[in-house]
This record gives sequence, C-alpha cells and structure tokens, in this order.
Amino acid sequence: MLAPGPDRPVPKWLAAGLCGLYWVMAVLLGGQVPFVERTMFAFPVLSSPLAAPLFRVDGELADVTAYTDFRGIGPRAIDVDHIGYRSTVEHHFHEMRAWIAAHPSPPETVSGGHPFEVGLLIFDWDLDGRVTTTVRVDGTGWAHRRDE
Amino acid sequence: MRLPVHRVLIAAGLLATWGSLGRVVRIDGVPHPRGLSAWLPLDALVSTPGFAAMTLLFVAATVGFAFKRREGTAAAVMVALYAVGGHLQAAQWPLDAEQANRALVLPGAALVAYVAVRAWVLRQGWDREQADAWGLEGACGVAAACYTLAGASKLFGSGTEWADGSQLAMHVAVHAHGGLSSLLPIRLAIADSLALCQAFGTLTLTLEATFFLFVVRALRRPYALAAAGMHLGIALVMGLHHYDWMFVVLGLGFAAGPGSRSGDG
Repeated sequence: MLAPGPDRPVPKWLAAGLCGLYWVMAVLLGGQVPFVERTMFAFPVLSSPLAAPLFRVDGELADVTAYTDFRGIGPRAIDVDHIGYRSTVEHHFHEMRAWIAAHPSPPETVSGGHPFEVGLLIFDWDLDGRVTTTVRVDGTGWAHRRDE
Repeated sequence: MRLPVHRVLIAAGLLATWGSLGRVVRIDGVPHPRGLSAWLPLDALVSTPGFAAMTLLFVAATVGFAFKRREGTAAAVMVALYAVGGHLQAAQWPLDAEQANRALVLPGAALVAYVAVRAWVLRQGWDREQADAWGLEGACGVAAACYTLAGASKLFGSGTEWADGSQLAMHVAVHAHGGLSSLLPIRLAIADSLALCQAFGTLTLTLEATFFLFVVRALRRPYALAAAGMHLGIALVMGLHHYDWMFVVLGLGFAAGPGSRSGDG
C-alpha cells in the first residue's frame, strides 16, 4: 500500500503499468469501447489493383469540396462499390458522393462552370514492382468554384 | 501566468484531434444510427451550429486544461466530447465502411488515463500538482501502448511485408492524391523509388514496434522527437496528417522534464 505524502514522487512503474493495462484492454475489448483499439494504422498487404475516386476539373486533379452547383451527373455517378477493385480510401468515395448530393446546381442553371470528370484512379504494379496509374472516367459535368 | 511548453503541445494535439471530427458537418445528420444515436436524436449535433457549439465547449475545456484551471473537469469534458463526436462520425457511415476515427484513440485514451490516475491521487489526499504529474505519467503509458499497438498491427497483420518497397509505394501513390496537389509530383517520385519506400517502411515499423520504451523516462524525449519526425514525414509523403497524435506525444515526452516532480519512486 502506498503511503500518502506531500512530495511522493511519480513511480517509474506507473507508465509501464498503464501501458500493460491498455494492451490487455486492447486485446480483450478492442473496438468495443471508445479509445480502445487493437489494430491501428495497418495497411493491408496488397496483391491486386487499388482504386481511389477521381475528380478532375479542366483535366487536372482537384478537391471536390472546392466546387459546388454540380450538374450533368448526380451522386450515383460516384462508384462507391468499385467492383473488382479494393480501396484503402473508401471514405473518399462516400464523401465525394455525399458532397455532390448536397451541392446540386439550381434547376434554372443550364450553362457555365468548369467541366469536370468523375471516375476511378486505378493503381497497379508493373513487372518491376513500380506503381502505375490509369484513369477510368464514369461521368462528366459542370461545376462552379466556391470562391468564384 | 507561465504556460509550460509541454501543456501547450498537448493542448495543440487535443485541438487537432477535435479537428479530425470536423468532417461530420459535411454529411447531413446521422444516416446510420446505432447505439447512442439510435436512442437519442443527436442529428443536430452534426449540423454546423451544433458542431460549433460543441467546438466552443471543447476549446474552453482545452484552455482550462492548458492553464490548469479545473484541469480534471476539463479533461473529463474533452473525453465526453471525443466519445460523442467519434460515435456520431462512425454512425454517419454504414458499419461495413470501417470508418473508425483512429485519430481519437491515443488522445482519448491518454485523457482517460489522466483523469483516472489524477482522481485516484486526489483521493489519497495528495495535492493537485502531484495529481497532475501522476496523471501525465499514466498518459505516457497509454501513449506507449498505442504506438506499440500500431506497430504490432502492422507486424501481426502483414509481417515484414509492410516494409516491402512495392507495398508501401502503392500506399504512397494512392494517398498521394489527397491534400496539397503541389506535392503530388514529389510524392509520386517517392512512390517510384522502391528503395526509399523500403527505408521509410522499415524505420516506421522499427520505431512503432519499440515504442513501449517510451515508458522509460530517459528515452521519452528521443522517442517523442522521432515520432514527430515520422508524422511529419508521413504528412509530407502521403498527405496523412496526424498532428493529433504527434503533438500529444511531443507534449507528454517533454512533460517529465527538469523541474517536474516526477521522481524515481
């Protein structure tokens, strides 16, 4: 039993004890209680191509949230299922779909804006183990920059 | 009033962690409620005004923690806000979308350790300074566990494959397209160098797998600085920004410095 005292130093074992306790909790309860996880920041071992969402404006890769008033396509043009391809940035597909759904063009708008493309960026390896990138365009439309 | 550097760093990490929840306002409501959000109508909290109100409360708690004004209550408030925010963020996605916000893990768990250890020390009748020092020491233990688990996740999940150059090159290439597009050419050049990717993977794996040594006070600062270097490198190369973990572990690493009341016990 620890004796109370006005200047009791912090014991060395405290950090080690909490470290061990967290490990035990992570193994037993990982993912079931807040802030206790067993697996963190572990990318899967890859053996097949990966996909990421494509958003290009005027032919250049761009941040979808910098644009609004989307017309020409709806949110369903974002292929959140990307069948045949795994993805390690799954949430980017869902966020892009949600953003486009939430920022449609007003019905009276029929012209103007920047031409954009949506689809997939597909990453694969060449025979030397280097990464190659190909583009699959699933839809095109027009959108306005939010800062214009 | 003098504000110790380590408290500023920890407060910066806690704020960055809260910032990781900011994306909740991009989605209307809570489309996939479960648990708490299935029982209570919490959609208003992910609206812009609702999240702004939670942010104000969080900032007030962070200031209290930084200036050691009701720091125990402030830390408990932050834990509650992290828990609610993390739950709402997860409930915005289908269960199979695997949207757990790992940014919350270390700061949230470290705060829980701080609150619990601090409360125990106060119950012994010891003073607030001691309670704070003990609480921060407990948080260091949790930080050591979180980083080591991150390393173990990689080792147990994929063995040394994770440090294979072509594997990391793929992950770098995929993530390179997030964030600042001006860095895209640099990131793709790094992804094209398998030797560089292998070196980065090996260093990351080594640092994380040995991070349990963070419990040793003499090694705390070197490990905190190495972790900061790792996070900055990942931000530059992959556009994955974890200033949440970085600032918290930096602050903890420098918490038990000269003049603290930590001793040999």
